[in-house]
Amino acid sequence: MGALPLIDLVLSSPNRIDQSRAITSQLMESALRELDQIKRLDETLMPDSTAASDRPTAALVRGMYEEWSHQAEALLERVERLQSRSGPVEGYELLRDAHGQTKAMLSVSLEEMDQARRDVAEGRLIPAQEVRRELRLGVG
Amino acid sequence: MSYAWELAERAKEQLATLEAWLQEETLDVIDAIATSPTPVEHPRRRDEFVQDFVRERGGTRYYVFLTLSLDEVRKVLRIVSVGSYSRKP
Repeated sequence: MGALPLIDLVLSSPNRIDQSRAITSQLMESALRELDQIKRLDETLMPDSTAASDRPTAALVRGMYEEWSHQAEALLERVERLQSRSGPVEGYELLRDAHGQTKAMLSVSLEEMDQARRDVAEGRLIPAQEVRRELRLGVG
Repeated sequence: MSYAWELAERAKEQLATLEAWLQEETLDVIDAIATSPTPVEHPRRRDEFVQDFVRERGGTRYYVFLTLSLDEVRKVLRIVSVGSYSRKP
């Protein structure tokens, strides 16, 4: 997504709206392909939860998601500006939701994930009925 | 085949940070997954799979990202983590 300055350039010219729309659509497609590639790398590099607990690898992969998320957010901001001037741009919802899902995944830190996996391995688990009861009571 | 489900202690803390209505939605989604878990459709690792869902309320989109594992022997679905993000329009 190093082509963001291109959008800025065409957005700055009111006569280049069609170009802006075409470029943003292409960049959104490219961003989604890039995310798919990161997911494939993730699955290849960390095929199981033991491998995923290897901190250097997990941190590198997480960094790739974070960088993608940052770039996607910058792209979404530009698409929203463009949409406010010229209507919906195809592919916006797909990228918006892919970005939201990635941010939701990233909201769990590596430390939290490690702790959660230890909870599972060591049997610190709460049955469904108890979870529902506690949440309804506002416990925890 | 329906599975029982359990939540990792840390995942319960994460769930508790969600608004009450979204907690209920999340539990409903987990119930639905436990009814017929299909990890092969949502793989992430050999021993874990992921499931996300989106809800919209008051113009805000809420994203929830679950990491899960299956104990095929005991027929138990385990919720390892609950991540979330909200996006205002």
